[in-house]
Amino acid sequence: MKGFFNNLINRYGFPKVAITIFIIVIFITAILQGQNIPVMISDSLVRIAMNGILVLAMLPGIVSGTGPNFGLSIGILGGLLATVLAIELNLSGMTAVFAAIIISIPICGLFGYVYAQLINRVKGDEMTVGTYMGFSLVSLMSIAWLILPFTNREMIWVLGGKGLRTTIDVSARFGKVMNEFLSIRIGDLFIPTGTLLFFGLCCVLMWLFLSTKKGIAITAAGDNPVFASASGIDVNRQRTIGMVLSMILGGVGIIVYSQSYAFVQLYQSPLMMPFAAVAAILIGGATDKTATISNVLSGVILFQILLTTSLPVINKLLPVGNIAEVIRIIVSNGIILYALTKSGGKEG
Amino acid sequence: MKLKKFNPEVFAVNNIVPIIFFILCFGGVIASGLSLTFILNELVTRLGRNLFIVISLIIPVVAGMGLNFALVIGAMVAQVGIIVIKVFDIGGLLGVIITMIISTPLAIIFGILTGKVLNKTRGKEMITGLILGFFANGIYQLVFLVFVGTIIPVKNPEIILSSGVGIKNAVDLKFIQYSLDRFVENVIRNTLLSHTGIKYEVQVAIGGVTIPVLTLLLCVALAFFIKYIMKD
Repeated sequence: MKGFFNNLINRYGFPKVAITIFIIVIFITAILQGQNIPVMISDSLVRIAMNGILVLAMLPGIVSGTGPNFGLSIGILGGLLATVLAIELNLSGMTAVFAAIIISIPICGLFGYVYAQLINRVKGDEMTVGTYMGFSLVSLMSIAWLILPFTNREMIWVLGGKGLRTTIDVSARFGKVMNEFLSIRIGDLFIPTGTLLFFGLCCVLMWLFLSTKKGIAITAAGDNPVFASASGIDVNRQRTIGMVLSMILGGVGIIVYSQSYAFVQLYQSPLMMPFAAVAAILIGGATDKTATISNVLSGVILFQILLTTSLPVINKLLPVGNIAEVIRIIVSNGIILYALTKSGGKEG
Repeated sequence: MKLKKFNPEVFAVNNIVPIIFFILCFGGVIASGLSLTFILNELVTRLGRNLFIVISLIIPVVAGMGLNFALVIGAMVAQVGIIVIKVFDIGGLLGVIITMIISTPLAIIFGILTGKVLNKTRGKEMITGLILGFFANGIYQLVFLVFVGTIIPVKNPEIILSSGVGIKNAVDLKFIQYSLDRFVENVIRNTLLSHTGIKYEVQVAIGGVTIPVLTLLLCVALAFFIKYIMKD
């Protein structure tokens, strides 16, 4: 038995094995409690599709050598800005989602480019600097949400007539349009095909990009910067491209997230989002230097199933406070810590 | 030692952050329109509150670990001590001393554990410390929001949420507020002044500014302690 587990851990990594065992335990408990399993599976699928692109956004950062993008909230802010612009333009339905995505790409690209200039000057401390850049820009944008001259009555505070609300209800506009697209319903089981397909499309595009000449140059720069620059690759340029891509995916990711959630959350909500995404890709077996599409997929699937299914089960076991939220904090930060200790082996 | 010639340009470049902050503060003082006494009073109070915490950041920097973002762990451990004295309702200076006695060994244990993690993540201590702080926050919430009242029996309606599980967001600590400085006050009043007959009203005050003497003295003692450690 011990050998079997050691084998599994060697093959899939400790976090993956531990989380899978935990999920199995949760499912057994759920069946014993008589929970509605199809609903739990549907919720998990929705959450996976919802968060997938945000996790995918970690990939270009890690591959290009800047590590997990703890500053992803900057890209998320760009995406949120594009979403509120689309609402301000009075768009709705699928048009609104794609208009928001198209608007977000130049904004996030610009954010990513400027941010990459900073990141290239603090090599080795990208993660700390990224975290603090994210924190400070979220605060800066909190001021901006209050003073930007938006006029659409759906978004601004009812009283005062100025400033955006903390959560904007978009269920009538473009809530769940992508989820409902080609969706499948079998009894209680709901498959959000559209969002899953869009996530899949992004993954395929990323995979194709990483196998082009440009993508290989980025991977080389991330793998071994000294060797890469000796072979004539401009390392800083590759890191910039990686960061721009990461931010754009972050922007697209939050738009997909918002349509699935049917609410746009402003102000402090992007603050901790990068940590969940970092935890997800690390659960998938990525380190802070290597990552693949399969890490993204397995990571987001395991992490979101864990979060979604543990909530009803634990609430039934222990109906106390927000224990599910506490578990989310412990698991996601614990996984990030574990990954940091594994890859930091610069003994000396 | 040869004295370097004072060069304003070099001085400005080397101390750009404090200089900008000074200008910002100066502008803030003027814009706020508050009286100087009030600001000085607040400043001294906050100095007493925060100085100790900031001084505690020196050692990890010197040891090559960068800024100790995991400092929150120490603060959480201290809160364990505070909650213990609150439960047993031990107030005053004795309460503060018991808090220190309870929290110091715990802080040492957690410090050793943190050090072990940081030694495994050389070069990335700051982000590790940051995440460690978040992680500890999760454990902390688990203990104080979920375990207290369910696993750990605590029956004190003053600090427990009305549902009987979990500690309130803010715990009233009036019973140990300023106890360090009140102690000085009492000592002065009872021992020195009762013999001489001089009337002594408030805490040590200079020109309308109240000064928490013992707290600041403690900070100075810590500063000297750190200086002593780093000499070797």
